[in-house]
Amino acid sequence: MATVTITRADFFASIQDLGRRRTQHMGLAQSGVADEYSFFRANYLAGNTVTTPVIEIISGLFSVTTDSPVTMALAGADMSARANNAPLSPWQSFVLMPGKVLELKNSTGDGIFSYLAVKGGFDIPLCFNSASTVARENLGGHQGRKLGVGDQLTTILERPLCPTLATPPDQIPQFGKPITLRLMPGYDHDRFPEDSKALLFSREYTVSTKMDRTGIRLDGPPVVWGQGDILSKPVALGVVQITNDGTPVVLLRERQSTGGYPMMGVVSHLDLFKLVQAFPGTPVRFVPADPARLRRELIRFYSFWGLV
Amino acid sequence: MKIEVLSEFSYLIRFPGDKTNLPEPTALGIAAQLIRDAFDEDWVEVVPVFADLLVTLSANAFTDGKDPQTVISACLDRLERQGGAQIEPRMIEVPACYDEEFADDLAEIAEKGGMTVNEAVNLHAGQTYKVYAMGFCAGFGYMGDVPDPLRQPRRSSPRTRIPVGSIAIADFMTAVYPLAMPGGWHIIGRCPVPFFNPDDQHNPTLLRAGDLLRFQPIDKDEFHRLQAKWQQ
Repeated sequence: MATVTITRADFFASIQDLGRRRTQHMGLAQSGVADEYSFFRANYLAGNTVTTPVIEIISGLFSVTTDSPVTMALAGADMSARANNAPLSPWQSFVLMPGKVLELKNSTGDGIFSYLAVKGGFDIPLCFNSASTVARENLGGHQGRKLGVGDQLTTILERPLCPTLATPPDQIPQFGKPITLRLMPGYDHDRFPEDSKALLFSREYTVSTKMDRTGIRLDGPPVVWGQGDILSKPVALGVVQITNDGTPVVLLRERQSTGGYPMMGVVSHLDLFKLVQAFPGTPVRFVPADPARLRRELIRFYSFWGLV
Repeated sequence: MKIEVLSEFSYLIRFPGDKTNLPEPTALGIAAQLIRDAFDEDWVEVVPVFADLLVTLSANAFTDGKDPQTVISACLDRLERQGGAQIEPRMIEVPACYDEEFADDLAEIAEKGGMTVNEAVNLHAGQTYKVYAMGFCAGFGYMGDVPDPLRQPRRSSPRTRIPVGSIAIADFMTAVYPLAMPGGWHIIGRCPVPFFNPDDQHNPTLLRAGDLLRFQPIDKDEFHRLQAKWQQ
């Protein structure tokens, strides 16, 4: 097997897979990758089952070395990567040679979340049937925490090598464009004042700097609730909650399982992958959407990756 | 009960009730179990929280023309026919130490309620609480109802770290912190038994929504004895 050593981890990199199932009724976080498309693609390029645990790197500034040759794949955000002393575009697999470095630098403005897969995957113990890290619970992934300099991950395969692949250009998403979020109205939507609903669906919002694996706050005209406290409700992935100051927040995989703020509905699952890759300042618009149509689209997506 | 399509693979079931008239948590708990049993491999999350039940299914629950909403409806019909009250909820008793060392806010709560600390303890420990929901963090149960004289809104400035096992109250709810967390609830005691144990991967939480819970007052010596036992 190969040992991959982390030599730089300035911001936040962690082991992730599709996250946990059947745990939210115990108050445990769902967790898992923020951008499933890039995650599946990274594993596909590394010749893996697409749900194999990977390293999710937020905002670059991350590097690794290896003690023997490893086929790796990088997908998602473009962080001006270099491997084996040469520039490396994402959306392809490559072999990292012993003693050489894979380095993700600063963002190019094209995406935020990068996914690094190795052939056969890393040897990570499962916690609640998932390899995903939940730092606030000190559980999962590598020792229940984000990756740090000096951490060593071993590959499952004795010789983690396979032929390298590239992604056809038409299957590489373009991040950094204005985003339309298809929102399925629900939860407290019908109880919001008419003006507030109209505002959310007509005005432009922008991605704010306040974003992490729990959620993304949007800047823009405040959405008024004006009806006092409500009972907490179970929170689905992609909920748009409205905080007391009228800020819409889109909740992601590391959200709490319950929420007491009024909620407008749920964002299309596929649109979340674009949202998480968007830089602060990216324009966001909401359009109402029909769950049945989005369901057909999502089933097609999972069929494409062989998961249905 | 009303079933709403929430997203691609999720439904929200709303039980009648509001903050002052909550549905029986055992009814939501039974509905949750009926739905889990009905979908077998195809349920991903079934989460009862106060008056709402979130059901998230796998993509496979929707393929080949299947209509999960009729299955959920049938589960709710069964619940109505059998009546939630016929199933006995689990009763859990936990030791609780209300010593001032562990109860930063107890004196203030008692004073605001116009009673002695002892009276406040007897009032809190004299009640049987229902677990309305699990949430906030792993193993945290929202329980009620706290007797009226003990009810106070959350603290205006949350504490940055509340120790593991702290017994807290806020408004009509009480809870025990399973992990050290920041929080804005009033701290009135501490439990020596774990409420969250990740080493038990199948049943990591002491509580489930729908359970009943009583606090059994103990002194500081007993607290330390039990805490040492549980830490072994």
